[in-house]
Amino acid sequence: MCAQIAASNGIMLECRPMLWPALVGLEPWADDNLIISDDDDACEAEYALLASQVDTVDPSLVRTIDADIPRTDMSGERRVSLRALLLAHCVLEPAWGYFQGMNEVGCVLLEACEGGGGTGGLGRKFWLFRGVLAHSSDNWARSDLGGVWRQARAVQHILDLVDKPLAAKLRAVEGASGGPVHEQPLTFLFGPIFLRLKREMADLEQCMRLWEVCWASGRYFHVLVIAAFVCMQRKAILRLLSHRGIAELHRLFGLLHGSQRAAPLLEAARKLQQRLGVTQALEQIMTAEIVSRPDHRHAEPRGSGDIIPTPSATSSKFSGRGPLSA
Amino acid sequence: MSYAYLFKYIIIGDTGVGKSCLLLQFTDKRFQQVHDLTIGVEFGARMITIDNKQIKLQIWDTAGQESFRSITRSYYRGAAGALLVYDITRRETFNHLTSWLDDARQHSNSNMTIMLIGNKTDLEHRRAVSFEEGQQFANEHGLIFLETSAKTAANVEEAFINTARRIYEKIQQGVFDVSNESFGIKVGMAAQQTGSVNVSIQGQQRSSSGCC
Repeated sequence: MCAQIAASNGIMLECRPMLWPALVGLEPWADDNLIISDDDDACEAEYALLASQVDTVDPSLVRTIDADIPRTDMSGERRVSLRALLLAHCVLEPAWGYFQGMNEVGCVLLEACEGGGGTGGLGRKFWLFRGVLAHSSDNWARSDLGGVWRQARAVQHILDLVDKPLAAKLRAVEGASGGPVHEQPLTFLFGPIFLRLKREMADLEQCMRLWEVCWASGRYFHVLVIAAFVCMQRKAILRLLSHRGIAELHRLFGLLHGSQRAAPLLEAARKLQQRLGVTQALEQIMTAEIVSRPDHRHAEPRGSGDIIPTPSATSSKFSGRGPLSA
Repeated sequence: MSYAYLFKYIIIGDTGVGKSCLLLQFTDKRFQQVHDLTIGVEFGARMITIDNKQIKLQIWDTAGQESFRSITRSYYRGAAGALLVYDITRRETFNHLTSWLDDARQHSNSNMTIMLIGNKTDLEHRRAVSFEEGQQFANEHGLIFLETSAKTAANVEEAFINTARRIYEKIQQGVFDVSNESFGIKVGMAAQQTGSVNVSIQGQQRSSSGCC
């Protein structure tokens, strides 16, 4: 079933509450069958315990969450659920705390759980939220955002392999701005990498389709999707005047917010995958230990969540429902 | 459109103080009550006129949460001006100014012009930081100071333009080597065509054709 999802352009809205737990590693696949967990009571009880401790959360984080929730595009009722999820996350994961952007992940998650008319307790949604966060832990795990730049370097590596003129053009434009191109390339992709193209997608449905196919398609597929996203803007990028620098790239990619559909991106990413597979260099980039730059005074892993957990790698944590950074 | 100079700005300050709303009001002349969180950095630009010269402002709007400092810091380096913003209704955002200023001074060039902005004056009934406190902080740290409202547009133009005016004055005084883009200033074609670019290297004035 996982392979079928990987080959698809997403799954039915009504199926998401059942299939997402398996896709993010919260529940195991057994051959072609999904084992549906029957321990909802335990989920809810453990969540209730966390929810009872939210008064221990750093008040500055609570203020930030309370300021960000009205800035999250969702209904009033869901905002109450989102606040509860984020606070419980802070209780369980003090090393990560609340990172802006988690509110948008929660927004997608609640749509997946409730958009098809699904109900169920907040506990199950909370653990699912944690599973979704685990799939992008490279973004949250380090105070120097090293995981984001690692993914940017991986995208650059793919571009070097598949489209040398495009990669050279991007280097020329970024180089004109004098930034740390080698360590932090493709700065205009920071947002798309950080939120896995959530803001670039036309709507939440397209975002959910993209994410679920990525989860089903292997640990590096999302990097191929980002690379495909850049390749799809090839004509516009090559037309840019190099000396105008990185601002032009930010402007160009800023205009793409809310414009993308999952199917063409996935198709382009699959073509890249067929052409490249997962190269040794890509594997090396994505698993390399990140060395902090000297000017990042507080750069350190938040807990030990320095490697993107795969469903199989995280399932044991989820079965114990402990912190990812422990 | 050609410009005489391009000035790079960075907008910094705690999350939720209205940085993105100030930028939107300045570039698009509109206010958005609910604005998306800034993830990393975002970008805006607008042309202004100072001393009959077209000046392009290239403005980098940064995320306010501490977690994003490692990316926002890398934008200090090439900035000629910074707008340091706090929210007059939230005292903690004023209390954090020293930390922001330390960060800016550590990572920017020493001649960066900093404008302190107390935003949200439309919420006067919720004011928690007085005008005098803002002015005193600015005086103590050598900053320009204004209170603004991104919602009503009060003083928004002035905040961006007064900063540009101060940078322009510094250029006239020969404070910057404008051929060195690390100061956040770029000489445009319009300045070269008039042949009026003054370039100072280590305090010595000389004329140059500059570069774009």
